[in-house]
Amino acid sequence: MQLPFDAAAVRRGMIPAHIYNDAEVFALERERLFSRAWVFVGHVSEIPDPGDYVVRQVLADSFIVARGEDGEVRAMFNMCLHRGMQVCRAEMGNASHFRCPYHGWSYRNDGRLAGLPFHRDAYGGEEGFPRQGRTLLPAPALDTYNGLIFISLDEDAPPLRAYLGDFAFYLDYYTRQSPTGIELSGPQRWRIKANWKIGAENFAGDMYHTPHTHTSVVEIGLFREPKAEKRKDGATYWAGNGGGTTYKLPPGSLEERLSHVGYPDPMIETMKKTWSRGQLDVVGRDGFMVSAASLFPNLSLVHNWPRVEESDDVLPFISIRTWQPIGPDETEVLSWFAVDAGAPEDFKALSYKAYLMCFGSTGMFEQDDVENWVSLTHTAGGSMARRLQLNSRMGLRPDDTPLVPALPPEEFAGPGEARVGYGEYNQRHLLNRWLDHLEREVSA
Amino acid sequence: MSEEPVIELGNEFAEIRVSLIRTRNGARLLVESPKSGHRVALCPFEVEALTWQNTATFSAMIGKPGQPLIEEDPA
Repeated sequence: MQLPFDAAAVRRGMIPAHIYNDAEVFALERERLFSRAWVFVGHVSEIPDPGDYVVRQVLADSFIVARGEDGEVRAMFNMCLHRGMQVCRAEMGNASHFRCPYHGWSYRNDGRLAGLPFHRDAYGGEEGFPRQGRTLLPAPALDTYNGLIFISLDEDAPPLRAYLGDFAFYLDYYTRQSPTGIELSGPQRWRIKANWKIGAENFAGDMYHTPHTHTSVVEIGLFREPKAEKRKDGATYWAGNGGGTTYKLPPGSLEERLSHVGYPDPMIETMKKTWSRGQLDVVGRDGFMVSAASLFPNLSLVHNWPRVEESDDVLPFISIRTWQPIGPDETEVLSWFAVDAGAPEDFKALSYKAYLMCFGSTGMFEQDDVENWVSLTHTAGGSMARRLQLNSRMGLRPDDTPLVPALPPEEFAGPGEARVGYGEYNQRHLLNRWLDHLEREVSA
Repeated sequence: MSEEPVIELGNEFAEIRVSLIRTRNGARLLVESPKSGHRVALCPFEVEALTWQNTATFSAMIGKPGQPLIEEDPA
């Protein structure tokens, strides 16, 4: 099938503008991308005890993500086997059994059908309609990494760890600062009239927008660095199925650099014991600190260190978010606050404050970003957008050679490919993967 | 008579009120569903018996909503 846009142009970094608001493209994304990719649905810390559950979406499919009485984490399609009503309507709760509101069919929290009202009169009892073996439909594939729960609608999906590839190295900075790992608060959930790809691309590699879009955040002193231009000293990296941005840290030891972004000594000591040599070297030897990142297709992370009090001290926060597609021109954002579960309580409280100031539905960065994305999406829906290819070639010369070389291992200890300065390498990587999926037809 | 504490708990499927009833010679645990009006007053022995059950017992009870799991023996 011919794709409804110029695929070769995408490979060259020239992006047909209408892909950011096109019903036909969106239908293809549903059929060929979200039907196969690993999609983040939550973290084990959101359902720590038996019976805890949250309800999460993969596009239009609702899943109950629950910890059973046996302690197992499962994702079950939230549709009653009888007439298809959503079994769980609340977004979170604790229950040993779920009961459909329509006719009262009940299920154990591992999905097994427990009971049907008037089973004998209406169905002839167990002989007429055996409950044995009937369960809410399980997600075709479920896997976790550092407690992050992903599901795939493709039962033949590659193992999650293989899908992450070397991006796992970077994911650890956000989700494994100690062996205990992170705990999540939230999510805040809201909708924006913007295409889902824009946020994913932005977090993957757009260091270039910071000095302009986020000028006011710097001007009011939320950040210690006087100039947002500092972003060009950072590096972007792409590894496995994800990539992200970093800031360049001032000279110093590993401990001084982690302390510079606001980590207290006990947390630094734990990181030193938890992270690999390479992970420590990216910070301590090479002087790069992770900031925003995206894992294909729609999971993003951010790590930043604003001033939270009336001093020059900064404090880091971590946020995890999904860009959940609602339609070609609408996205539901789920934004969580993440913090190392073993961090001191006062650190957790201030880190949460730092997160709320910057991200989440009221965060200042969020306000700045979304106005751009809504405007872009709106304009991409018109007829002129079909004649325009957006230039996403930053960092490439006309002959496709990169403007700056990839950092050698002596200067960047992380896997994948990293480059200092502004570039749209990662956005191109993300859209190339997007295209890989869209070009691959779903077998019957 | 002192006021006994009341525990209220609920999820999206049920709301329940639990309180203590003092009798002259002992106490019972009163479990009420304000919405349906169903209630049961359990003696300590019955409550202990609950601790011996597995989820299958509760699945069987939940599977027959609004009705007892087992009919009373005829007198």
